[in-house]
Amino acid sequence: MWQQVLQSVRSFEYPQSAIVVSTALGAGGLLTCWLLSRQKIKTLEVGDGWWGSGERPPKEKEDESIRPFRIETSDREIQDLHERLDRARYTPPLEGAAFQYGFNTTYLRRVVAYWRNQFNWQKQVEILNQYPHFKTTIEGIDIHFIHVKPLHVPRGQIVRPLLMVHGWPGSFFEFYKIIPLLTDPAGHGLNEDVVFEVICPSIPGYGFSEAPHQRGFDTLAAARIFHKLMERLGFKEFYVQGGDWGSQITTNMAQMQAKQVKGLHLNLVFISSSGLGRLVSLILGAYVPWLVGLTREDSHRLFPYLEKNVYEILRESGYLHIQATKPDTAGCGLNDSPVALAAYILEKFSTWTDKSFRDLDDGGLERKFSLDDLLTNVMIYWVTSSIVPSMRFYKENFSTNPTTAPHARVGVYVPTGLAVFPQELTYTPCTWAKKKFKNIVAYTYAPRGGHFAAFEEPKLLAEDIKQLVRKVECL
Amino acid sequence: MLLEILLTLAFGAAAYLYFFRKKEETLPIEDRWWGSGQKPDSEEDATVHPFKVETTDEELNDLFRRLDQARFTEPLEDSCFYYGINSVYLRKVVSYWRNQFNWKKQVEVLNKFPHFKTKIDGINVHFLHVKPPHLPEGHSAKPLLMVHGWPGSFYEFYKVISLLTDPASHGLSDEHIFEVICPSIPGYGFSEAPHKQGFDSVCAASVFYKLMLRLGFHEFYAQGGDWGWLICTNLAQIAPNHVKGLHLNLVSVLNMRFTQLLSILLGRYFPGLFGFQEEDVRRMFPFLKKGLYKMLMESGYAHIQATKPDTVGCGLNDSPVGLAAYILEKFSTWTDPEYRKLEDGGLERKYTLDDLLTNVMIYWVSGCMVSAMRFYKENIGKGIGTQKHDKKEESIPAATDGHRRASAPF
Repeated sequence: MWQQVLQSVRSFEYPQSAIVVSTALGAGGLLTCWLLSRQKIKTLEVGDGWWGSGERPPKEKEDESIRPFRIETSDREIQDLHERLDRARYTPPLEGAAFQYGFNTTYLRRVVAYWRNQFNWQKQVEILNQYPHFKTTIEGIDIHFIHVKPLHVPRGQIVRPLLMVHGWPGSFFEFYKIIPLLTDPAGHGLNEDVVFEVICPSIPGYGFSEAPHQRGFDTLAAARIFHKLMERLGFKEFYVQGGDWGSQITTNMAQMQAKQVKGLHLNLVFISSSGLGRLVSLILGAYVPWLVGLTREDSHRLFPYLEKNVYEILRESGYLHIQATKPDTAGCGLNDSPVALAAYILEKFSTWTDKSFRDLDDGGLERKFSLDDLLTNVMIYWVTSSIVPSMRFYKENFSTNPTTAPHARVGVYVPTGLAVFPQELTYTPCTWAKKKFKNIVAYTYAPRGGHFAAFEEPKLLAEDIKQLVRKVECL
Repeated sequence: MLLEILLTLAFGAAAYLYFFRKKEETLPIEDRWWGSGQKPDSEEDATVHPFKVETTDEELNDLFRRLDQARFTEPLEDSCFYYGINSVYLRKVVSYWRNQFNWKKQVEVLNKFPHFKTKIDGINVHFLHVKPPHLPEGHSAKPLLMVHGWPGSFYEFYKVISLLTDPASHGLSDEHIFEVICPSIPGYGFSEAPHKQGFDSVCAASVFYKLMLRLGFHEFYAQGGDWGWLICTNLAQIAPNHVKGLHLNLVSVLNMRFTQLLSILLGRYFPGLFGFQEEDVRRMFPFLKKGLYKMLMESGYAHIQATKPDTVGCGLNDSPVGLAAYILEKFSTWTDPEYRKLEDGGLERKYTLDDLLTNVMIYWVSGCMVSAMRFYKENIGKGIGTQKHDKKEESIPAATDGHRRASAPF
């Protein structure tokens, strides 16, 4: 047969044989390129870091022990808080302002009265201690985390490790309602086909994790530290979940060491929104969405674009702008005045849960959350004095152009599940997300909920995480 | 026949000039009520009351307690003023404030000029009115309205007032002598804050216009920097016949026209085409680095104040250390952006701690930070360059003083 082919090739006229040869070469070249590109999946460099004070000790090996930790409080701490609450100075709101100018102080006084007279921090500390806490030193700083294992595991059931990372102005506490649904689904009326052991660390600089002493601590550094944490805990493969900064950190983890991340679940997607393709998509998408891969749901949430995505974001990103430029100034007063800290943090729990809450005199805060839960999160920032380091994270991450940073150019190949909550701050259509997340196995529209998904709608989020696992493991 | 043609032409020209001449546009004055609740039917009390700044031991003790219990966060290693104010230096400032700064003495310094208050449109407006101590024969004092900005106050003018009202005693020519009026913008210092939404620069200008009329001035000069430049400019747009001259030490273009946009793109290469001087080119380009990037780095405060003033101001009204940090950072970086490289922010190179802290104390004792910040939302909240007054032209004599490092008011 080959001889026949060769004969027929040789018998071609010169131009024809040239065409055949060059086509064959071209096809062969393309095939080789394609094969090579499939194998060469780009990863993010892991690197190394030192965040302790002063110089890194040269020969000393880091203490890798994992030490149990308990949150404690004292009468003095509570008394100091009460004194500050008692002498708080307020400015009355403008008439009819509701929450349009920020946190309404008429309502703030009520929150502070509750905080002073009814909120029981000692009781809340016991609630926080219901799960086992630990600390371990990584890259020079103490990393705090909770590690919750299922109480009883059905025979033959695999327990999957799940790392959940919080954001700003949240904390590990945001996961307290969802953890039981993941570690003990049967006890909560849920399908027990998928059971987890959950690890929730505090991002360095937040809560009970030590703050970095050096400049430059960004999401890549956090991702690397969390990888080392999981390794130290003995996990070779695990799932990761994140929203807000947690989303960026877990994504970086998937970009750095894809083999260890079995599945990535996000309730907020960060993608850069520049590029000619994006512009074309926006211009055409308003009129012919199907032409640029946008669904009807996408259209509804994206357009009118200027109003929903530009003005709305400008209105709500003042905090981001000042934290990304002057965190030490912005956080100074908040670390000294608990009332101010509460106003700053709780304003986000209002507006980021539902934008229409800006029109309510009480910011709709207690519609979705209890004051006990909200104030416990605020207290975590207060007792640890972590508001300034938590804000510095913004400066460290925005100091380089986000669109050209290395991790913006590396794709995510780990199986990914995206949960889109209707009141989330920004919206990313699936077609746009696919440009970065190459392996999206699930894209769900949640029926309700905002930015703090785990805190506000734990059941919906838990179900979505389990759905990802089912898809990844073909259950 | 020729006569008819000539008459028609003359008539036509006259008609054209009448209908199409450039009418001098004025901005309408704002006549709203800023007091709480409904405007009463009775006539407003237009008396001008003398006022003295006062303090009490209680006020001082409360301040000291807060300073003593201040909680600081250690700065990152080698961060100087890049992350905002450096708390190591801030501790030194607070220590001075607690142990050496004498507020009672500073209050006497403040009271060396005569203060007054008068009610306009429902709110008490505070102002200084400083007349020349002696006027040479045949001289008359020119009334000069000077308007401060954020995070400043009437106190910023204390050094310059004497040079204007009494130049001879300071070795200056007494060709021009002024009587100076320095009001506090409503919501700042000892002026009452508006209780209603919408108090923007045009409203402030209207209030100051009414103030000057009430004081008996029908013609006056106006000077302003930071918010003062916009308020004085609006004043000139409201009452061009009353404002003899306008002096600004900051100018911002809020409404970018096409030619201006073009000048940004091409001005570096064809400066003459756009009327740029060598100094203009040196300061403006490369535009992204010197213009946009620099602006983004320094405008976080404006962004948050223009959107959530009540939130960001909350802590500054409850923590004097937080207030000082926020205000003094501006006195460092806005005096010279190079000061960010210094561990002490270069603050005491140009100012004394007494002067800086006096300004901070004005915000603290009056509790006005939140209302001061609301001014940003009222002015910028609806968008930059979208207001009617941004588009109106200015036709009275104006001089601007392009200081080397003036930044935009926001």
